[in-house]
Amino acid sequence: MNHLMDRKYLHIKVTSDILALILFLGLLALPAASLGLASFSGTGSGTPSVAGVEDINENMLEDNDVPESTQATQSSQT
Amino acid sequence: MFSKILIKLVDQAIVPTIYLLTARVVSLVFVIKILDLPFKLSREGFSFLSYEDYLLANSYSALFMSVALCIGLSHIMLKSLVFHDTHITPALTAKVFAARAQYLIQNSFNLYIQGTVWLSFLYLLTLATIILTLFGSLYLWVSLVNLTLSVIFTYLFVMDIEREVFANERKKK
Repeated sequence: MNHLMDRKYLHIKVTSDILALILFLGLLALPAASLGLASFSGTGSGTPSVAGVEDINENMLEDNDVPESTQATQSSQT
Repeated sequence: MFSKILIKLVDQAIVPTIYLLTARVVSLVFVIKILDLPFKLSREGFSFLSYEDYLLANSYSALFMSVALCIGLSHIMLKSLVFHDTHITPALTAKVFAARAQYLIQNSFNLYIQGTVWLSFLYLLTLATIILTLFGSLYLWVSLVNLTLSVIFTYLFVMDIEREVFANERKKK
């Protein structure tokens, strides 16, 4: 009987300690996690200066440029 | 039922958490107001329309948070290095009691628990700032400032532990 009580007590103690540890780690992580409170939505008029965005835009512009030879064939067909 | 150390750790972590979260929110609002930055409040928090504004507000707010953390940590370090009960000078003890500020004199258990909690906050903040810098969400100098502060306060804390160990050894002899 005593042995069972000891085991039960030990089980409760370990569980409560783990819960307290999780609570402590959660409290520690909260201020660091609050750095994510601010975010960038990117829907405004300001141009994002993220590296790569401008390059992508330039590449898209270049793709849309129609070559002169193609323009000539198109005009001759019409 | 609970372990004494764990209970003490949780107890000592509550106030700094609230203090740092308040510092973060207040500094973010303060930077937005001072620099007049356009933003909108959403479920994700403060959402900035321009990337430059986001970088600016986030960096200065993180710096303000680090300064707030430093103030708290300096208080703990002052108590550890000057008013620690194991190595406080008799003259200073008399002065502290005369000024009725005996709450400043604390034992090693309390001081080390407080020091551990506040230093953990500093390490986690440094780690978070480094990660955010790598993702381009913070200026590099914010991470460098945090890294420098971590080194300085760790050195001071280790120095206090050394003094404690030497004091104990002298007592044994």
